[in-house]
Amino acid sequence: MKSAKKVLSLALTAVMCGSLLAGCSGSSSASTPAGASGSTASGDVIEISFPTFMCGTASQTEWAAERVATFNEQYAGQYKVVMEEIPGDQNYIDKLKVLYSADDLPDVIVTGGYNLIDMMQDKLVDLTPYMEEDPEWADFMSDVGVKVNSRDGKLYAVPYIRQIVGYYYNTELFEQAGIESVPATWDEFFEACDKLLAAGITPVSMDTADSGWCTSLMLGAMVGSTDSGEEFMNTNQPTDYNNQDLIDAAARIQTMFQKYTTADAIGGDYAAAANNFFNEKTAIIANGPWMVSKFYDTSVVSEDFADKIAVAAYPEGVMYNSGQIGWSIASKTPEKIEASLAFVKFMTSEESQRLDLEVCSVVPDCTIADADVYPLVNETIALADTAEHSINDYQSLWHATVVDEVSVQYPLLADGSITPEQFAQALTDAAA
Amino acid sequence: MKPKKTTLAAFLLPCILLFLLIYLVPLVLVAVSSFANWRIGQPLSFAGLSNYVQAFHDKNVRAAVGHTLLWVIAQATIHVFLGTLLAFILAKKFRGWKVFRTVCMLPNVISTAALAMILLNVFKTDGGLVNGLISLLTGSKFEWNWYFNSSTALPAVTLGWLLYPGMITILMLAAITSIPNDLLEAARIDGATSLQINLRVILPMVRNTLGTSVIVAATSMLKEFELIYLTTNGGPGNATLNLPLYIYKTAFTENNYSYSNAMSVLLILLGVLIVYAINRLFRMEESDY
Amino acid sequence: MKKFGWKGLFAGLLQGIFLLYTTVICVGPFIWVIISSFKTNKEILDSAFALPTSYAFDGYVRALDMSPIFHFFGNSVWISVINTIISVLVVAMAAYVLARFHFWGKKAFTLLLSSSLLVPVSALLMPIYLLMAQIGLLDTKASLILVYAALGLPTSLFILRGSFLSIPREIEEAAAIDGAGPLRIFFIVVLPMARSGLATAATLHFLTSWNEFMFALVLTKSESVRTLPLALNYFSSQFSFDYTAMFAAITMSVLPSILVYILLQEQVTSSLVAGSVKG
Repeated sequence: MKSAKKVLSLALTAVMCGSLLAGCSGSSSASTPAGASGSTASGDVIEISFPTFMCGTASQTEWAAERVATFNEQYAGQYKVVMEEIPGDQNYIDKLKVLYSADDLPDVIVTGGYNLIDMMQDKLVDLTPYMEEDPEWADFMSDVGVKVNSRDGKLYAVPYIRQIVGYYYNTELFEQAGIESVPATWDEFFEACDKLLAAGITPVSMDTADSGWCTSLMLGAMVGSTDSGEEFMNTNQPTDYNNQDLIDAAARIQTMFQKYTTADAIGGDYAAAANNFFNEKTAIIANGPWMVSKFYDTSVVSEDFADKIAVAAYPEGVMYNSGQIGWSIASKTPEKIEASLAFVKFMTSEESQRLDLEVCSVVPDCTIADADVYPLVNETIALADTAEHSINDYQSLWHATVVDEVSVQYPLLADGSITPEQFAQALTDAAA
Repeated sequence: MKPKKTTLAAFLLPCILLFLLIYLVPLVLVAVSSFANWRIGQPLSFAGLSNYVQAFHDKNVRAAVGHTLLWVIAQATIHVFLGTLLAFILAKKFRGWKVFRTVCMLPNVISTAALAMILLNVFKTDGGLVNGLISLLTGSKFEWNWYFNSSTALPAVTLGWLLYPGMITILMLAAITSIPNDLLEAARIDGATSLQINLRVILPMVRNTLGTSVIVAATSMLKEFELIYLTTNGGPGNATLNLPLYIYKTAFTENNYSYSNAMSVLLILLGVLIVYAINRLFRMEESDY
Repeated sequence: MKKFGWKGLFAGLLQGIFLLYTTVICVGPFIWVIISSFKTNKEILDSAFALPTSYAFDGYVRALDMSPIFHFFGNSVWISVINTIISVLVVAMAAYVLARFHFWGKKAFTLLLSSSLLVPVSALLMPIYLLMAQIGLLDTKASLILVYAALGLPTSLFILRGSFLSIPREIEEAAAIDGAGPLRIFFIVVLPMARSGLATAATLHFLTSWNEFMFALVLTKSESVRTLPLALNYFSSQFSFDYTAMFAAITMSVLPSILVYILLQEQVTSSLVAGSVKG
């Protein structure tokens, strides 16, 4: 009895030492739990694992479910994609980080615009050779998409969407305030805000929680209004935020917090900001075309709401227009890489991109001229194609600590506890 | 009674095995990696004491430790006091006391995500419950952003757990009600008032449970981060940042595991010190009888 | 009787106010969740504290439709119950020894066990994931049962040690003189007397494992082993949300915890009745 327990505890210690070593070395070794990522299936069917945040209320849920089902049907007997639902974008990222540290990444990875490439590059399959093998496929990807998904000339993810964001405004409220044309400069923008205020309308929907999406889009657009700022807003993971463009933009955001937005903006989240716009409490919201379908959803807006809404580029002709991080492969065996590649090609095909555009208003990486979409979506795309300044968004570019830091610094900026210079310094500190 | 060593071992062994299985590797890993440079996507290297030196100079660590200690002390005193008070009242077993016993645990049952949403609405500037009440009482419209103004964020966040002592209440209530009735009867016959009975007879007899409650309350503040994360996210600035939240952010947002683990070592040491101090304070090694 | 003097009245009033206030702040959130589950998303965002305009069960239907909530529910019950029993039993044995006997290294041992309370989840996730992969328990209910049993260990230890310390030694000594062995004494004599402590520890442990999210997320991937807290995350993502369904799901997940709580607390009460007869 006693000795049996001794043996047991010894065995346990051995197991744990083993796992400790595997954990510390970080590099892959034969003993790492490769079995966990999709156990080898019966027969010749190659199973690949595909965890996804596209479930529940996420906007691409239907699309992902339909596409995966179609793929499994089309490749029945050859490949099988096993989907794992991970509700919540942040939960998905958190789990992937743990899996990365345990050297047990799933076969296929796609995030909702969050950049994992710089972090996990060493475990992702370099797709350049497969691109060279298949020139037609290579040509199909847009240049900007390839650029965003490449590091040192190597492709680590396949692009499938573009990040295109302007702002939406309520034409009826603009008319009430006597605003005749869309502001072309930031000075005009603030004049328009004053007119709205004078007409008793709160000008802009803003937020600070969860990195303050609507607010940060405005901030980025302000930064991107000059040539130097445009360059900054296309820099991957900048470490120094102490530049005049960002400080000027922070000063304007400070003014907007204090004068031009709702009381619930400070501390509020995207849902509250969107709701204020839906209720016609505010006249302007910065957000992308995926929001358009909600303009027709009468459970959140009034009957003719969509007719009142128009899209505009930010002052100085700024538009968010950039490639986005796409589909990566982290399979470890040639068979699985082959299967994953087939799946990724399928999910980024023209057919899949078209469906994503038509069902979820997600702007495709390739050009699809005759898609059946809401007019506002096409108008947004058209604005992006003719923009003077094209920038990328902060969430894709900035380091995650900076993205998190803005949400705790905005309230300080709003109540005047810090100056725009201190705001820029705080972001610089967070990036270090 | 003198127990045999084998008996002691047999009683302790399952617990030790469970502890070793789940915690040994993490504990060793935390301790070892706190002397390394370990970030996602970067090579591992030895760092000596640099993580600790960094922590010493980090103004966020200073703020976080300060808030953590403040909350530990507030929780170990005010929170435990409220919970104990409620337990003494319920121990009188008036009609419906069982209902109250269930009621005071309700906030511990509903998910933190829901509680955070409720609290955000309670403290909201526009249409928030607190501002609404103040406006009603003063007769003039009152607006204040409790959670996101640097001067009120800390107290507002604190109220989110300080006023919910359900766990302490059920702990104390179980202890108080297990005191044999004849002891209390005897005190009553001697002419003691109910306040005297509570303070002189019952309180000393539940000393151990009171100590347990203080430990549970204090250590809960050394772990608390979800409610802060979901309401103020440690802000504005670092006004409501505590050590667990900073550790979480350093690990999951910054991916700096080694620095996060160095702070974890500090947190664990702090915790062990606090548990030890409370044990001594309540002389918890001794039996009640 | 003298206790109905002015002082007594004043004290009674204070107690009444305190109870009322506690009830309001404790029941308030719960009622709010239930009421919100009947409001539309627009109503929830527009006026958080207003009553719903109609009482439809749409939110419940959507919650059940969108997430595998029933399935997860069963898993949660199974995992929480089994791990609570294991944990409380295992910890009770250790707590008993720590409360009763003196041996070398006892203090250090207690403090070592306490230290596990403070290892942050972020430091636990990766090593435990690797461990579970090594012993082949990834994506099984057993992995969550093991982890949860250990997670509640320190708190249960404090509570149970406290309650064993409150039990008079004489009864065990009498049993020992009657010739009962240590195991017999523990299970037949001591455990029944510590019922209230056991029930309290079990309640808290059950609630902790019922609501745990991070390990459930990381250690499982199949629907057949996942738990309820994961289901509650199906209703909000960065740009879309369904609060009505979320509150409906929360309501459905909270009711069983309340039931468990009431049942376990009833256990405490009845054990007290038994105890006072003995005493």
